[in-house]
Amino acid sequence: MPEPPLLIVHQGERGPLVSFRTEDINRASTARRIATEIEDLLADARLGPDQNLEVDLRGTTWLSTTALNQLIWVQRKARRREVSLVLLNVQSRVRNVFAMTRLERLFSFGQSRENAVPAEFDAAEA
Amino acid sequence: MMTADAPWSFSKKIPSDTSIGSGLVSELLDAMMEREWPPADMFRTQLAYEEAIVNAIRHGNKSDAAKSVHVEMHCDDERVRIRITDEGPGFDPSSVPDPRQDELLEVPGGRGVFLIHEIMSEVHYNDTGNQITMVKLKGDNPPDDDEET
Repeated sequence: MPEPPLLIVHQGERGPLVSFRTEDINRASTARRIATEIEDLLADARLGPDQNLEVDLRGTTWLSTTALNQLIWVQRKARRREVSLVLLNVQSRVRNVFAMTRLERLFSFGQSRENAVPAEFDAAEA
Repeated sequence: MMTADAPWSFSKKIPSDTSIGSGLVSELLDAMMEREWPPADMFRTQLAYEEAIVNAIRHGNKSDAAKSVHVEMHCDDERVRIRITDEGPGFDPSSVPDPRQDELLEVPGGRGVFLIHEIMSEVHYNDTGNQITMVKLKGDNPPDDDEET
């Protein structure tokens, strides 16, 4: 029997909006599954340039490097499809973790679905 | 007049299972909460613990079921100390490259050791490199924008 999905997916104007439980994104086995489900979503939704994949981190109270690793992996997959990965509603303490590790440069951030601040860093151009 | 709670201590040997290891931090967080530690300190302590326990199990013990991890934790009103000892050969923490370099930014992995040093007040390794001791001093971090728990 297949395992139930870990991603919660809504459909927005500019693309899908996904979320997940804090404990799932921070545990290696489930974090990997979440990343794979997001990759499948990118393929199934046929997202392309100028479309967003939004990840709602409103309920995510902390992010370990296990979680960060999977988000980096997902970001790479999205970038290959020229899809913008936007992290929404990131709590300030969690945002500090991105800042400390300089990963803020890799991701776009926003509140709800408006006014996303684009990523500063593109490894391909570095 | 408020009297300080007695210090809380914990010591346990666990198998190389990250689910078990990660689950232990809740007892420390309860002890911190009872002693009115700020949420920001609890957040950082939890994150550092998680990084250290996963490193000990996955990298130190190579997730070998035959190997154990010894977790010792201590909490009082001003100081938290966590010591994690694995049964692996150890490593040289100074050999871990800075993950903030441009060429490593998109590389998954390599951030745990760095984060621990950034968020804890003191970090020490034994000579072998299979034991980490982390100390968090109450309030010893930048003011947090998010005051909500």
